[in-house]
Amino acid sequence: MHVWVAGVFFGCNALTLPGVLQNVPKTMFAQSLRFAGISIFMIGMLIWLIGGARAGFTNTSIEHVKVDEITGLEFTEYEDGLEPGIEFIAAGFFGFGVLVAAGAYFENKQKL
Amino acid sequence: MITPKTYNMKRILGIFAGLSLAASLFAGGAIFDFKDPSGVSNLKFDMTAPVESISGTADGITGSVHFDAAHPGETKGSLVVSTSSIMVPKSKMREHIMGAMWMDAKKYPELKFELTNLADVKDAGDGTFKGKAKGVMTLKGVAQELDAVVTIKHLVGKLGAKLPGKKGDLLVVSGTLVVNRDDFNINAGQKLDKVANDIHIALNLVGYAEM
Repeated sequence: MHVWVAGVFFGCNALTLPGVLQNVPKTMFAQSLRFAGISIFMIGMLIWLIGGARAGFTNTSIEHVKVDEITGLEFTEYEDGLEPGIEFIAAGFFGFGVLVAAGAYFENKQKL
Repeated sequence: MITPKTYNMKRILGIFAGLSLAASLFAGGAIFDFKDPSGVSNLKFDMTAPVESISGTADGITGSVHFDAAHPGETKGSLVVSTSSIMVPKSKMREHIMGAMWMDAKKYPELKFELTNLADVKDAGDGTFKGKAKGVMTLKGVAQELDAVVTIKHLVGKLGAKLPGKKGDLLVVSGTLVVNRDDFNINAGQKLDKVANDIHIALNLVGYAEM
């Protein structure tokens, strides 16, 4: 089991690590790749949602808009911090696509 | 690019503004210093392009303006903004903005607005005046005439509220203007899908005059 988990985590397969993963069934490996793909997409989506579900790209500073009581003027203060943007969804989706495609590849390879 | 014509115009306006400020010492009104120790003064800019909207602020503002509530149309002065004070919430984007293609902060460390007068002034009451600030904007070495729609609020005796222990007035200037980046050679004609050509600037400024 631990070898199978290592394979999923490091994106390896029996060809890249000869002998180590030889005993892992390929359908199981393909399924685990799909599972990892879905997980990556969900993680990306979750980070984006928790971070405020912003429509723009990721911010590396957080803006705080304030109003000066005496003049009534609006001003912005910046604080170091991360506001996740749509790149997190895109990266999650990309990871999902790559891992699902890899899973399909291994599954087809086994059928042949 | 600075053409001989714009360079001369800039020099003449600069001399004119300097003389006007000096003359105003002997006239009514007061000179308001726009270096804001409270950190409230800022310019907010907004650029909306098809792919991306960019907004940010600049707070490195200095300069002085002569204002006389009895003659608001004769308001004159100059405002300088430090290029390095431009801030956007994306660190990589800020690096690009400071670069040679965009604002070229190393070569052009500041941008300047020489206010020559206030046109179409309307007294909105309670020390508030609305009008069109006319002047010359110098940005990336290019000087061009620009108008800004402004509201000026003269807060008599309110200096102490901002700077405890001091007596004087505050001058609050808010307004909007549009700067075209093609006109000022800010990566002219490039990346228009990501960075809009029109830069919408909102002014939020406060000047201090000790009496």
